[in-house]
Amino acid sequence: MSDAKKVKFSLDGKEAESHQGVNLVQAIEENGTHVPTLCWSPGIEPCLGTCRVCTVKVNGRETAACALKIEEGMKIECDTDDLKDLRKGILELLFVEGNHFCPGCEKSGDCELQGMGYRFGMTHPRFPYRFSHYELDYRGVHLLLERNRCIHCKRCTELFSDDQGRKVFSFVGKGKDTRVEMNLDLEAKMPIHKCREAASLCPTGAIILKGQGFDRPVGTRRFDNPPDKGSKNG
Amino acid sequence: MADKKVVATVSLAGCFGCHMSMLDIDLRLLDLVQLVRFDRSPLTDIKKFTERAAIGLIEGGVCNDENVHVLREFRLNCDVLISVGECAIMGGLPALRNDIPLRECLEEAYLTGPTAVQGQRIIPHHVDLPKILDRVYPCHEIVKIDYYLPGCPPSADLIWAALSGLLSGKLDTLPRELVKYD
Amino acid sequence: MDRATELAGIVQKFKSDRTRLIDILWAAQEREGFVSHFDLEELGRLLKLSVPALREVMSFYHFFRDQPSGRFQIYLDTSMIAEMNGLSEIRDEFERQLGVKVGQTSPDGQFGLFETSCIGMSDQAPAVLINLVPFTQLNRQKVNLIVHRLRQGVELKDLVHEFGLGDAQNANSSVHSMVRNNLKKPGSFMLASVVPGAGLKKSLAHSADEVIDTVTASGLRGRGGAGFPTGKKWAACRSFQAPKRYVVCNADEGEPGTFKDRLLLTEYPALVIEGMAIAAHALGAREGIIYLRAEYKYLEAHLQQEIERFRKHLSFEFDLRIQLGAGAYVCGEESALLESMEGKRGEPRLRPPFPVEVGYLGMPTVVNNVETFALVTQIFNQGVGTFRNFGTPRSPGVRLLSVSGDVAHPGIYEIPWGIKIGDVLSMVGAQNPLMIQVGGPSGIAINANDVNREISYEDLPTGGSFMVFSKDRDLFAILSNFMTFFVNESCGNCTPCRAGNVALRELLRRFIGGHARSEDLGHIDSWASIVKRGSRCGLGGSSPNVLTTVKAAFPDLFVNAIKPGADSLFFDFNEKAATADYDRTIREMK
Repeated sequence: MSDAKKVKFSLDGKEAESHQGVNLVQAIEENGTHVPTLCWSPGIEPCLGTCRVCTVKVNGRETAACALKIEEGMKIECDTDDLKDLRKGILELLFVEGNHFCPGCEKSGDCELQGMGYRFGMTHPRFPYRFSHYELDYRGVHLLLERNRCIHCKRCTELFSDDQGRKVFSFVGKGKDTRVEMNLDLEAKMPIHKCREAASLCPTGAIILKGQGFDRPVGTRRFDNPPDKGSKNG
Repeated sequence: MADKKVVATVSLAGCFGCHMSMLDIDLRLLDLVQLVRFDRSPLTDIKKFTERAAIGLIEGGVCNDENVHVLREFRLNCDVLISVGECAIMGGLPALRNDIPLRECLEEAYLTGPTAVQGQRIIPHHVDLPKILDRVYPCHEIVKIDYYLPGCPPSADLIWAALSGLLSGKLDTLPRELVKYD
Repeated sequence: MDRATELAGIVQKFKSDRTRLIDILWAAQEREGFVSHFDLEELGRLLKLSVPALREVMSFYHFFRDQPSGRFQIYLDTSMIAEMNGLSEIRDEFERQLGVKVGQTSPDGQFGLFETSCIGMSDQAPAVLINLVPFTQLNRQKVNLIVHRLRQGVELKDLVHEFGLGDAQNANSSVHSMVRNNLKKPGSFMLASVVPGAGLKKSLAHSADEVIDTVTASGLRGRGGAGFPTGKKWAACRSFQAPKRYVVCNADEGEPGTFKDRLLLTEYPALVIEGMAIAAHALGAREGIIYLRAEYKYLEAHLQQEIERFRKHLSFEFDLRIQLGAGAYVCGEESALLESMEGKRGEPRLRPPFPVEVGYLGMPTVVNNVETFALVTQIFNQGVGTFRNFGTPRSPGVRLLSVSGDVAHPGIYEIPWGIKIGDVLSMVGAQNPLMIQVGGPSGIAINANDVNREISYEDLPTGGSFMVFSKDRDLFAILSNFMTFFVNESCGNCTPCRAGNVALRELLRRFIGGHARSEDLGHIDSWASIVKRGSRCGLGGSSPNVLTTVKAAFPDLFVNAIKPGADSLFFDFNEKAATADYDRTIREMK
């Protein structure tokens, strides 16, 4: 990265610098401004661009930061009240679309959706709760598919494959009725390290290892304590 | 005594965990009682409002018609209402039934579930018993709620921050590091 | 022939090419009207795809079925215009006659009754598709007759004949439909009669760059709705070095209230094909594809015939094929359309890169609307000057308008850009108009009193839909229909559109149900803004327009829906309704 060409851009009216080809999220963070991300995390390439919580303004237009690379002269707005509220609004939509009962969730404390809620200081969503029905799939040998918690980020359907490169997770349906499915035959044959990989790839508690969870004391989990300044998550 | 603010609390469809957390403010309770007087509350066992309250703390969501009436009574008698905990804010654990038809829930609870009495044919009902609502409602869908304290339960620190903030004047924002959902 | 052999034949026909999955699924569905689990297993084995991977694609499109869904599959058009013209009566009549509810298949396996979004028949609503054959201007009697005849064993083809064939090419054996063109005002430019191939011949006398310059000089802008300058798009596509380039015609006319491409494809397909050939010359493309929405499948054979007929005018290699869609409004978005053409779920791509750089199968691709190609042909026939005689400086030329709703003469009109709303209203015989929806649900709602506003990119752009609603109409019912349309047609890829449109519809229901509070007025704009600015593609980017523009045009509508006392600390909560389930359960248990 260091031998890549330097680019200058403007970030919230201030001059900023990064290198050619760097993802916008990283370029902004390098300059000390946090950009929340859910479907994206460093290394996910090409990005999925589904959750939209990293929405920033580039040259006057809203766009998902994860989907762009930094370019010379870009005018980026990120830390404005207006954009922060837009991103919080998108996050709140995820909280009412699913059924996120944090107190009873194995992933609580380590859930990226929850961590982002903390970071935004969200006490409750502005939208009405939907309480939609989602079927839970407990038929897996190792994994539990808890669709109430799925945020449709596509990490599992697009990025995950078993040891032989086969697709294990897929979507069915369209729009609000889109649901994630697990290939039970493949799941049954997956070694435990792959199952663990799938569960940790999921940003929420939608893919959970059966018989595990609640195994670390409150206070020691990923999002229990306020994030350090500039940390990647939370 | 005269300038003490009046506080009322209640647990609707809740587990009293939020009340426990309230008591968890430990020694700060001593500071609190210098500032406030509890009226209607399980802590005082006062069952009817004896005077208007400055602050009402609501634990639990709204799962039956009695909850609706109590919540309205709190709204009528309190200047400021606070939803305390996940159940008050989004229904919480009781709201797990919200995507299941009520009839199935009642049958499972009283007739077919493993804890049901063998041979039981009746779902308990009586004019004096509350009627179960079609789903569990967050408090802010029934009355106007002024503040929200998330958590299961909200930590004692968060409750203290909110109460002391309110009592000292205005509560603008909650300390973010105290906002938790579990 | 056993089923496995049949499926193997289908896969072989498409050279085991996974990118032709939509065609393969259509072919597999043809025999039984659904694709069974066995079929999917076979196809998966042959294409080296897992069954879930196949389902992932198939379940995206609502015309694909994975359960027995009737020998006759009836799809009711649920557009607003259909609703105004008796949708509920024909729905009721079908349900009564068939003994099933919408979404069900009759026990004898003969009939399946389903709903779909606008099928492009708003000028002859209400209409249904039966095995993708349109039946228009229905009423209870006609529904009765349809069911009766089909039960008697009458073929669909003969039933269409019994109902009466449509005008002009609709009566041609290659179309054989009861659809009527309803061309009310032909105009002098777009539909002017031409010598087939003449425009192409003129363009071939010029270099590719000169052809693009001509299109740029004409100021032609894409007719799909977004209005991107066509010349600029072609130039961009040509600027990318690649072994292949593609020309794609977007015939996925899905915006409710639009049906002008139906006319072009029925009566003037040669203009469209010729325009594609001119584009192929300009771009150095050797392959072209017409993405035809499944709702217009009845035009497929006709189009295929016209493609064959046009070949004699081609002096260079240009292969043209038709790609049938399978029911998804979002595929009208060009990158979603490309995904669909590649045999995937029709979810919009992230841009950049744009299709002009990375398009069909990764190659630079130009996607233009049906009407855009027809205009290209006419521009070469009649000259840039003639074209620019019409319209305004920023919106040059003419366009087709699909007019529907409360008007004396619903149908298709050729108009110059810049025409005043008042002039359109009198031209189409608007009846006591209250609101006009310009550009379909994703467009802009205006008050019919705004007669001096004009149809142009400067003021009111449109992809061709022009719906008129009279003072007798309930604006909330219209909004409700439109928001349900967006909820149903969101692809589900991104959060703001998938979840946000549902939230907006809930908000609207607060107003309709009389539970709205003053702060909800502000929520309309602020929630709409989240969906509009946060969404990944134009669908979510425009779906809230209808709420915000109706609110701007009719501010009293929402204000008056807020009941006196609504801002009380005690919210509108119907305790009786909320305890009705309990009362019923207890009563029935006794």
